[in-house]
Amino acid sequence: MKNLRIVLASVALLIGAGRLGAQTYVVVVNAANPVTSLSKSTVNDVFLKRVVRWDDGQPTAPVNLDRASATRDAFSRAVHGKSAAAVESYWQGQIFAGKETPPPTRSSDAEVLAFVRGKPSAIGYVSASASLGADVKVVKVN
Amino acid sequence: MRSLRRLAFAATAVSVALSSSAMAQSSAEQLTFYGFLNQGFGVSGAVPILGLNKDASTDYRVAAIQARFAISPVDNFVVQAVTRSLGTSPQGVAPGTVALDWAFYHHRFDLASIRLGRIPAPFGFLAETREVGTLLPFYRAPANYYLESFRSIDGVMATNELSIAGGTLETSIFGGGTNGSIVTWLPPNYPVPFVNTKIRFERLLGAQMVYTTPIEGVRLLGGLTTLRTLDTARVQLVPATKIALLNAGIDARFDRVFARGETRRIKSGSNTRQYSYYAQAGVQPIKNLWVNAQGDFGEDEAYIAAAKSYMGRVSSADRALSVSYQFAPNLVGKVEQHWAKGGIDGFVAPNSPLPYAHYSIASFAVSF
Repeated sequence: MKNLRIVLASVALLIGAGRLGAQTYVVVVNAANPVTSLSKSTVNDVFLKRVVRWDDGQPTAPVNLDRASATRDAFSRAVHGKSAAAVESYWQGQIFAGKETPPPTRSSDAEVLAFVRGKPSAIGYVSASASLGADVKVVKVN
Repeated sequence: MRSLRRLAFAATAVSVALSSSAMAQSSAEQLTFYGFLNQGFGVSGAVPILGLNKDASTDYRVAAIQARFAISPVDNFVVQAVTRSLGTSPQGVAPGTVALDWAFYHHRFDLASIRLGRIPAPFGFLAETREVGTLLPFYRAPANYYLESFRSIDGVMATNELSIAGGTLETSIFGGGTNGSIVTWLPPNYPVPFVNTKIRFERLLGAQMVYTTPIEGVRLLGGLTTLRTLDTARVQLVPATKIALLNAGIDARFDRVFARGETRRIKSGSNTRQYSYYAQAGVQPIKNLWVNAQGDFGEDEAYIAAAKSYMGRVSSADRALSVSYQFAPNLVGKVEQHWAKGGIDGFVAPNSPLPYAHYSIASFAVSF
């Protein structure tokens, strides 16, 4: 019984360590955007279109990765507290209630970065290992 | 059909005119299309109900397509066309008929928005999405509660969001007019089995509040609306009547379980009341599979002068179970069984026992 408890505690620690491990995505904005950090709830509101303007009055332009993307699922769980599929259901409710539509999607990190690079008010997320290139910066999410 | 073509032409003309003022946005993201299909196969026992009879029917579907033109990041023009097949229900329309569901202009402010035109009617949690099968635990939203009438409002709606006590309060105020119909089943000795009266309601004024509580997934709803039937040549059989709707509800949705309940009182004129209420709940025992239960009830009351009080009875009671499987968020299959009393497609004499009816529906739903 004691051994079982040790095994269970070890497994719990390993799972916890996995969750606390390196974040698999980074949130990015156009380099012209003065924002350097955002709260998690603000990022949530921007991607759910509850917040539609930056502090300087510019309209926010969020962009998502495709639903099947593992990075999107990690982002959804961390920021929205829901799986990407659950967020998809939320958007269906918004669309067919005649309210809002989801942000546009891009199929790869490179396409998200190109979108953010081309739009000063854009915000997106890519895998932590993606090469950002010029005119895009990482925003710290608290 | 002709009016739909005219509308489509007008929508296209407006879109083209507006597009010149919005050249900054890419055209691919300015015009977007969404849609859904909810296709059922239903059969009832000996007693026909909700357009289903013992011969079974695949003529049971709702499909809609929605076009949105983003004039700017905060301005949208939205048109939704819908086709509904209700089996043999007298509330159905000619096969293949496509009708205008919505056509409105939507402007977003920072914490508010305004919609103008033919807008979705906000009478309850499921009002706007009552037929979107990918979002529902059963083929349709509870039929006693979500009537064929009151689907859309021709008018204006302003919506505001406020943060209150750790949650968010969304308040919608709306006004305008709406369409409805009442099917009256006639005794067997009449030359026709029923009369379907089309009604136009005007002077509609209402408000709905939805409070998203600090408890993740829990929402509360309350609403009050007044409207009036028109007493004109276009509206037959129905005298001008003032109607008041009062509704309330609670919705709780978590990862693997949900529960929802709503209640409503409709007061028509000075001596008639209708009550509707439903409860539904579901649990997800394994990934993507939901098992759901529902009770959906209607009750009619009339003021009896001799008794100096309202007297009435349950007019319809529908209890149901369903199993739904989510192949993807936008592709769902369902099977459901209903046990109903009253609410049938046929004449029921006053004070006679409510007839028993049971029916089954298998359906699949897709949306994009």
